[in-house]
Amino acid sequence: MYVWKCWRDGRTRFIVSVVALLALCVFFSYMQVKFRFGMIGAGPPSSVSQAWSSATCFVLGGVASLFTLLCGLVLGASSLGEEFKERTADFLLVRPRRRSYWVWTGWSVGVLELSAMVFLAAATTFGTLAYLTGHVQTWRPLATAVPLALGGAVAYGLTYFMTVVARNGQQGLTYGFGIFFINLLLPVAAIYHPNLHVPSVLEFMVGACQWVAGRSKAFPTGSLVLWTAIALAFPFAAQLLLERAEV
Amino acid sequence: MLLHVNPASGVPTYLQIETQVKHYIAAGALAPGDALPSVRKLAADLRISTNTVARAYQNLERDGVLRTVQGGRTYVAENPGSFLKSERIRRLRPYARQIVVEGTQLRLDPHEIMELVQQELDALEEVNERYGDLDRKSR
Amino acid sequence: MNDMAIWTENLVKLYPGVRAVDGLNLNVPRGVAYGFLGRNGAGKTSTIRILLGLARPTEGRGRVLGFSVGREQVAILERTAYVSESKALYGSLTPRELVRFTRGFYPNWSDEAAAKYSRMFEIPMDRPFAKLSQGNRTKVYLLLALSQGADLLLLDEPATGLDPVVLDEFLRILVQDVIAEGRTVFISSHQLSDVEQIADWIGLIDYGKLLLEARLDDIKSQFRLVTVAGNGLPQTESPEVLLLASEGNFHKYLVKKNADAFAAELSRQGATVAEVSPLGLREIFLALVRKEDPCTSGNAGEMAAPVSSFLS
Repeated sequence: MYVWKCWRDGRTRFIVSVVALLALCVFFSYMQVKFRFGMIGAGPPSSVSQAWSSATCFVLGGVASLFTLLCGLVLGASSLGEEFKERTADFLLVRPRRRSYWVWTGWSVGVLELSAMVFLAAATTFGTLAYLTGHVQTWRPLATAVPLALGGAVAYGLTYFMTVVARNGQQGLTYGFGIFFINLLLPVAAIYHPNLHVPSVLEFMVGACQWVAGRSKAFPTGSLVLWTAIALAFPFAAQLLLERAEV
Repeated sequence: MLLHVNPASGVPTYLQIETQVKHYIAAGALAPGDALPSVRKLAADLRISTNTVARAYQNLERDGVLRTVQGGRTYVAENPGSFLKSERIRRLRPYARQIVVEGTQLRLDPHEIMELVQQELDALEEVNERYGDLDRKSR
Repeated sequence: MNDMAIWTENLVKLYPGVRAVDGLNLNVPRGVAYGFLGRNGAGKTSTIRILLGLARPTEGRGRVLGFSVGREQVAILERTAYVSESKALYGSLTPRELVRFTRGFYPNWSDEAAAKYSRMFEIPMDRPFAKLSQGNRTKVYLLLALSQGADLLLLDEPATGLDPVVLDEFLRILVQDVIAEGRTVFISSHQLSDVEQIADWIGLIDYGKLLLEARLDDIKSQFRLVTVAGNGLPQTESPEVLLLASEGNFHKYLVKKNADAFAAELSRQGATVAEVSPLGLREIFLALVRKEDPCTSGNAGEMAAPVSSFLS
């Protein structure tokens, strides 16, 4: 029933986000194919494969990644923590379930929504490219759904946790955004301290898409493990916090 | 059976019920064999706890005023208060004592107190007669 | 302790600077209506929140329906229905949707009961909760609590915003559908008249401590207000006697038990016993929480300090 409620609360926002993202994917794929490669319809094979690879990197690795991260951040702010501000936590937490149930169920709904969104984005991009270039070059763009979903889950988990800490969606969002921007800018530090490399989630998403597009050889195993662990750490931390909390 | 209880009064609610039932019987409004409402119904109607009503019914049964059958229904006992005379007198004595104490406190002399009791007896007799008339007419 | 609906032992809850609950020993039997009374801020809500697992006790322990507070909390929540003081619910959901949301959690939920109560209370089932009046919000909360099939109802100010007709209906439902079924009702309120009507037991709390816990009937048959007149009356010390007020020659005592014996004793000491009268719950409440004398509320400053404290 809590699943139904979480879905119901975010239904409109979900649909709007999906529509917006798909529109962006179609638009930018079109721009890539037409303007960068000057072609619609079949073109020389090398150009087609370049178009596909480029679109995967730019549309999915770039535009969709950013959009997904932003969606994730915003989604996390309307989570369990917000119930404290609305005083509905009194009602919810008296239902006969463990605290861990609320955290993981709510979080899972959010992750599923994000996953569905990115899969649709990848599929739409794939479909647009196939349509514009006249044939299916490769199925690989669909695989970008994985790193995109993972990145989204990290951003989502971040504000989810911060909202539980602050017991307020707006504050949670503010803190989350703050931390996110710092994380975004971390690769800049690498310029000044070449030995220091702190990973940024966007970097991971872009890099993974580049691998999918064939632009980089190394499978980003380390990053995958790292960001999966971080994605799961946030809800776990939220659970620990909630179990000890005074409502 | 329509009762009235005042929860804000200093008198415990179960006692109010007992007193009223006894009064109704004495006045003839309730006759031996008449059925009383179930504990649940009376409690719900009066908006008071079933425990209170149950206690009143139990006390009345213990005093021989009411009788409960197998099925759970409660009736006015055939011979309310059919104890030995000595037992009946023993039960009434505390009330008599209370009248005496209160009356003395109020600086009434014994003659006035006795007259008061007689007046109450007369009033009850009058009500009984009136009810008795109605009762005979309706049967 | 397992046959009690609610049992606590030395329950303490400290917040910064305040002892909200201060060594509370509650004993609520099963199948009764228990009125939990106290002023605002006396510790009623804090106690209830501890029992529900919304707050953690600083010290002490408790059992609800035989299950341990804290360790077996989910088992408690399965069997307990709660009406909170704030009565907040999801603003965008309608009562119908709220019923749908809630029923899934409780195997003993009764759809017939929910339909019956929604009709009785005349709740607009398809209007979003945020748009409901305070009275309707309370009714929705009551509907959810009553349909749950719970063994224990914890009601924190359940009458907020209810008009007298609805309140009367609610009391009838409590008697007929809850108490008559052998379930327990725990009402925390400062609306004394509602509580006095329906309660079998009373627990009176002040500054986090239980001042009194007894059957209401016993309280009414034993508590007496004894007014005496006399010169140089010795101050009587006893856990059962509280000197409420003195004005010149007159002294007013609250006597918990054996009031006649007390009156007789004072008589013997030469005083004139002016009156021995029973007390309603409101008067007892006011006398015990150390505020104005119920009978001489016009005489500020005549209040004498209690000669004895009495713990129950």
